[in-house]
Amino acid sequence: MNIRLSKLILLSIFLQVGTTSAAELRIKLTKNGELPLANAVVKLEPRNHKVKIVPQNKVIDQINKEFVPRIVIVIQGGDINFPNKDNIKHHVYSFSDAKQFELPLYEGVLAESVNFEKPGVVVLGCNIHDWMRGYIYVTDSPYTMLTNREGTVSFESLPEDTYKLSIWHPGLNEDLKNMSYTLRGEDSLEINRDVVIKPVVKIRRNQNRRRNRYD
Amino acid sequence: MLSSISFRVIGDSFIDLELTLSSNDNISNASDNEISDNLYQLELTYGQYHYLDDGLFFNWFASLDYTQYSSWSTFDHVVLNTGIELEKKIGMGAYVPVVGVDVSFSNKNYNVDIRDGIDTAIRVFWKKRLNERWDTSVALGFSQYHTKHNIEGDIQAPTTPMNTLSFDAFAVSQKHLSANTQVSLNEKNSISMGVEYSDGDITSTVMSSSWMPELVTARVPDTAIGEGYYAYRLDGKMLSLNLEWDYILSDEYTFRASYQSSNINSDLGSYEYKRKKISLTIIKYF
Ligand SMILES: [Cu+2]
Repeated sequence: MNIRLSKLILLSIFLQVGTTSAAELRIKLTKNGELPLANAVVKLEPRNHKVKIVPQNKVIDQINKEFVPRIVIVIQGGDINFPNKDNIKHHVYSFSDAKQFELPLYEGVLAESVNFEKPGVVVLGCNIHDWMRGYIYVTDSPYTMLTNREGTVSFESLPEDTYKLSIWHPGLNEDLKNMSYTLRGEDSLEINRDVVIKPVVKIRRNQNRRRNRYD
Repeated sequence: MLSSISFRVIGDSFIDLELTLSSNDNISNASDNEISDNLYQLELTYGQYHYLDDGLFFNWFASLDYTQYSSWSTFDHVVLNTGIELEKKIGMGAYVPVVGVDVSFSNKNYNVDIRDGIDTAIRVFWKKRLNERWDTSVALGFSQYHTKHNIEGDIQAPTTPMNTLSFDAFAVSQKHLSANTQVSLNEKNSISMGVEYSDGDITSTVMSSSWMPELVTARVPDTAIGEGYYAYRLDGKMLSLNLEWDYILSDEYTFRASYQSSNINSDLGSYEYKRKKISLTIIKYF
């Protein structure tokens, strides 16, 4: 039911970014040996220097009975508003450890937003439309991004430090921990990584209809 | 509970069209000399899902269904089918149990009208999504078929006790117990397996001389089959197995292949008939 915490940090890579100046890190992810993996969360945690966390507010719409966008990163302490842009009601909930909440049956834009204080993955559902699934990645690091359509993220101007890299995606089916990379003094580094993604089986809309005929 | 329901329409509606090609190896439920035929079926359905409140759903549908037989046009029929369903989620989320009740009515009109009637069925059910892939349900139901025509045809009884029998051989009522499970193999493929046990009246058409009169509760000449054939009603039990494979072609089209096998046994006289049906369906969602 909940996303398992073990999936949260499935890949931890320690990176030593060059000692001389700010560096650039580019990561390209592919899934199952071929296609780019878009919408994966890539998080860097600096080991030595402290970064200032500035919470930002986000919006997750409900459009045509789906959460849009489906995966959202929010920096710890940030608020998310859930406008319903359909002309029917939704009933949004989460049972996840990182945040449990419920927005009972509503239409339009709610005045209040939901605050996300605890890092982790929050799985969203709708009690009316069981197939609706959304994911919020609450992060404690400002160096957290989603891969783009090409499956890449680029972190620019990273201060010199050792970084732990975590990758998360709802379909990630791999347990790669403590992979370490030692970097020399380059100004930029490119990591290409292939991950195993299990197919996401979506709950089908309106199934089990009319199975009650005796003929 | 009812007082808390807000009857605002918070619904979804659907329209779908199904085109089915089937092969039925025993269209008249005979115990020997079975007649097999191919069937072409076109069905248009409209329905609505409504979320009332508090995990309570109200759904209804209506469908019009035309079935044409390849050789036995006397069996061609039109069905107007309608049903309502009330279901309640016990808790929150996709994986909580759902209990419900549904009622359906089918008005059936055949080319040869001896089988014409209205089918009424009521069912209570429990269902649960076990995980992303598995769904399961059990149901308990009762169905009753009322024939429309009171046939007092000229009955040539093979033995005298027949003359006191009812002619309403197609009017049946049954109790049903069924279980179903469905598994989504991946985004496109799913398989559904079901088993159903029914207890009640069964109707079978055979040559008049074949059956023992003391076993049957009604008898009528089966004019849809032809001269010398009689439809008999007996008390019996039925066990049906259903297998269904759905392949999602696109958002608008699904292909379905299904297999249904039924074994029917009379309570007295150990008469048995079997029926198998294989169907291929294209479903178009609008
Ligand atoms: Cu919804």
